[in-house]
Amino acid sequence: MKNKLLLLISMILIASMVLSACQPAGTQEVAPGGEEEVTEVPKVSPEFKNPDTMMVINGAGEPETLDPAFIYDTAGSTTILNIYEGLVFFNREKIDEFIPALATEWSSNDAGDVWTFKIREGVKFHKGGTLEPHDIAYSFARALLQGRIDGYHTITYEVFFGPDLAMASVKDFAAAFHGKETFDELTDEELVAVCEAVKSKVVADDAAGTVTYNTFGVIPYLFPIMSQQFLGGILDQEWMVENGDWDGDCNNWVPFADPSAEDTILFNEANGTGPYMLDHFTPGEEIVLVANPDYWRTEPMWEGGPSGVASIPRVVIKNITEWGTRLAMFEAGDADYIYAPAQYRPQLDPYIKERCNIDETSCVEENKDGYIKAFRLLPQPAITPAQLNWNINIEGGNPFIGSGELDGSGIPADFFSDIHIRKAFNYCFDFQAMIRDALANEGVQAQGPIPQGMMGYLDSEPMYNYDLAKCEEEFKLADLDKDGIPAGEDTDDIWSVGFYMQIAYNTGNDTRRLASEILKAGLETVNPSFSIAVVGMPWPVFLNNRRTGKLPIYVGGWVEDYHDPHNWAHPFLHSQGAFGRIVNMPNDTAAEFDDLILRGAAESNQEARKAIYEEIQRKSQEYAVNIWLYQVLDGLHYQEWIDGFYYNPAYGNPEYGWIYALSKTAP
Amino acid sequence: MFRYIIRRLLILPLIMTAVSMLIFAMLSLLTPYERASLYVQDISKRPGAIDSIIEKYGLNDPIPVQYWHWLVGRKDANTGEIEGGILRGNLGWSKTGKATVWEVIARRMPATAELAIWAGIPMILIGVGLGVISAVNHNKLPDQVLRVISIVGWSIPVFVFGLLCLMFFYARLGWFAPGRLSDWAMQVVQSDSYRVYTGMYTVDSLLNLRLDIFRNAVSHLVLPSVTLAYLNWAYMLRLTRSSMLDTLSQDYMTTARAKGLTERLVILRHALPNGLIPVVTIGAIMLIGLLNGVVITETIFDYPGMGSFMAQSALSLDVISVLGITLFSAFILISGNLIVDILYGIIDPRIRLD
Repeated sequence: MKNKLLLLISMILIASMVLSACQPAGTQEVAPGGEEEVTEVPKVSPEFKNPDTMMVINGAGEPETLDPAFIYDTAGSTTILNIYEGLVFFNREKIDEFIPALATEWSSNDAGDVWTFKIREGVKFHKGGTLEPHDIAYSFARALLQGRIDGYHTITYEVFFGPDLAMASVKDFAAAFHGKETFDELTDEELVAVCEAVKSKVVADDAAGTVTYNTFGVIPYLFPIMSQQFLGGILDQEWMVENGDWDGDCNNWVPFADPSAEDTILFNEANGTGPYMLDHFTPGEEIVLVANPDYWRTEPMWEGGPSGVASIPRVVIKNITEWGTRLAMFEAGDADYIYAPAQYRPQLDPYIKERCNIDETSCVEENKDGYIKAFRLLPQPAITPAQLNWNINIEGGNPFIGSGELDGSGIPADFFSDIHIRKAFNYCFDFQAMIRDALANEGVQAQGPIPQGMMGYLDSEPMYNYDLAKCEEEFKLADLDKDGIPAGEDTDDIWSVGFYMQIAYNTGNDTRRLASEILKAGLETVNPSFSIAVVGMPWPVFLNNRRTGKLPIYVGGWVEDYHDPHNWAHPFLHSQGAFGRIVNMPNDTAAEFDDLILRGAAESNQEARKAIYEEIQRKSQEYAVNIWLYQVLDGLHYQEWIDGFYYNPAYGNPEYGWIYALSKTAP
Repeated sequence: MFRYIIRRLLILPLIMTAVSMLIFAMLSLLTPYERASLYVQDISKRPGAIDSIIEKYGLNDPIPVQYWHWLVGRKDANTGEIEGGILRGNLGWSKTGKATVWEVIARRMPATAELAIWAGIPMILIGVGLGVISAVNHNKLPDQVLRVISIVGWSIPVFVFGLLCLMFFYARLGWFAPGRLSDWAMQVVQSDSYRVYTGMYTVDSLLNLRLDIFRNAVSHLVLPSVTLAYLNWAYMLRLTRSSMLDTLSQDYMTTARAKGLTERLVILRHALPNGLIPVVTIGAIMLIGLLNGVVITETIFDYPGMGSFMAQSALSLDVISVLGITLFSAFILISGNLIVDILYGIIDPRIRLD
């Protein structure tokens, strides 16, 4: 008996220790009287460590490669932004103003399709070479002729050869350039001709110190693209050739076409002109950058901006997927920045010392005992819609639409081709619940494909809000059986019969799951005979079902490649866009959007261009192409000793996109 | 015994072939489009892009053809050179590890081995020691306390225990940081003046006469080792306890005591060797398990070993990596079992391996 009692007491003691250790750091409880009792949070005082090193703890992946021509991931793009430079760069936080970088001045012809850049003299590459105009022409030709599948260069083909040649890879481009079906059909002469055509688009004059760009008509978004490293990352031709890369000869480009990531010499090496040099990249462990001691910049980038050698001598970028580990490193003072997705930000709130918006001029002290400098409510260029498929693929069966019939157990393939159904779905989505519960109030309702803060974003409120009465009204106006009688008056149409369908999201993405659940709740509330199943599926399965056009509706988002409305309108609404082609709009609607999108891309007059994108934005709502769910407002968190941050959404991951502007000072 | 060892070694390639064929057979359950997602960062921008990826990497080939390419290599469309081929000593390129599979194993195995040693030794010594104490004090206070500790150790999920340790001993007290080394120590290790012998920092630091690096490496090993050891020594404790109790109740133990031997001699000379026979088997299997990586512990403590790499590879359907690591793990498992069998024969004369 004594032993059992001892055993029981021991177990209770240990269990209570474990449970007390699991308790959140600080809690708010509501007392019986209704007053909030605020429990003191334990004070956290990170130790100031490593004054010469900035430790960036990312958690959303690491670069696939460091080759600027190959990269198509934000981790990679952001890292090399510190290593390579283009001819121009963004003017601090402004996304439509540009300052000189490797070019000192520029001008264009009257038509606006030929741009000549004067190249800066005396710039050294990290490995010792000197920048010359031919390096720029070489970097351009190498990038386009490398043209990996589904990378960035579909954009550059469009810029220099027009939308008809905006192909998925250089091999598709080369075949299309000669009007052939496949790359293998091309003769040696035709292959050389492709290379020469590419080289003719950017021509260097070493003697004059200039480079001339010949674009396909007027490209209003040329400078935003040139400020990104996939087009702007300038390489040292001599060093590249010495190390076994393409020699610039049009007879020799094919072995370098569409390589695997690991096949290029810049996979884990770098030789740019930027303020940081690559020390090493050990996949799965860390990327280390060190300040370039010979950095060319002697004048401040802008008033009060950085100049000379970078203030922080060394930068270590680690990818740690576990939130608890990242938080522990932040609290211990080892991490200067940690990646904090929206769902974890409430854990940081009690420790925010200064709360800022896009830069430090907006900072307000919040908690003098805190240690975090938080930049919140940053309009991230990422839109998440619930994508509707207007013409669902039923070939070979489709479990996502149940019976595939208007019988209460499924939906017909053309379910979303009825505009009233699409509008009803929009009215049945509780946007505010989404923003409050899934985004912790750090998001805004999207009003179309173009995000807040960009040309084309409308001043007006979004067209749809959560309104079950209007949702019901729209369902009753639908005519899915096409008998001319609205569903509200038709006993064998959708309102009386009901439906079953599945909404898909990729597993692991809880925000998308919540969005799906909120839509399900709205629809099942408006009519109990509506039945929705929310289905999570692994990324590969999700991609495959999406590609085959079998998903009737799915939640999926887009992060921009470059900061321009064309990069939003085209993917979402063009009939060949990444998302647009899965919407399956009827030909007349698709043609209407395609025409507007191509006009917007070619319009040089800013006012006229703005009007086009506003029309696209408006129509995307009027037609209820999708349910435009939300735009995330980002939150970034630094130790209080990091200064100089400003938010430029075009940097990819702005938190470590331009470390050159940051400094680290002991508190 | 020699014939036994040869026979077992000859079986090794057969088992590894069977394992690889099994994995390839399972591959047929995935469509080429699902496997192509490894190469697709996001929603593809252009129609036909995924088809091009499938063609480029031969994902649409019949599974036996893909298996053949994995065995003998595949011709690169651009360069015309043969790439890969396990029979050519090439386990292929790991998309997840961003290096060849061999390089990834070479980079991560020392870390895992170091952790296995630092966790395994206390796990066995403490587990066995406490198990003996528990058994010798059957139903007395030490036995009861140790049983409670072992039950708790066995029941706490590793991610809870690990995270609590990390938040308390690192975030609050600042004692034991995650990772393998602090940043300053990593800079020393990566410098030209520091020579790498084994890849295990505790060993290499001693060989380089750098006690500061040794101390730093040990401080980084403390939490993952304690986490692993605590959760596993509980099992060892219970196993040793029950095995010892069984041995202590045998007639020959009474005989030993009747001969006038001291209790200490009875336990050390007669009970322990027999009581430990099953413990050796289980302990060795647990050690081999540690050598193959421990996913959750490595993830929590940002420890770049085999476990976290295996998990990442599997989740991203990186078939080449999964195959390479599976074969390597199979090799370790089979070799480890062979060693255990041999040890078993040595410590238990009743067993003859021939």
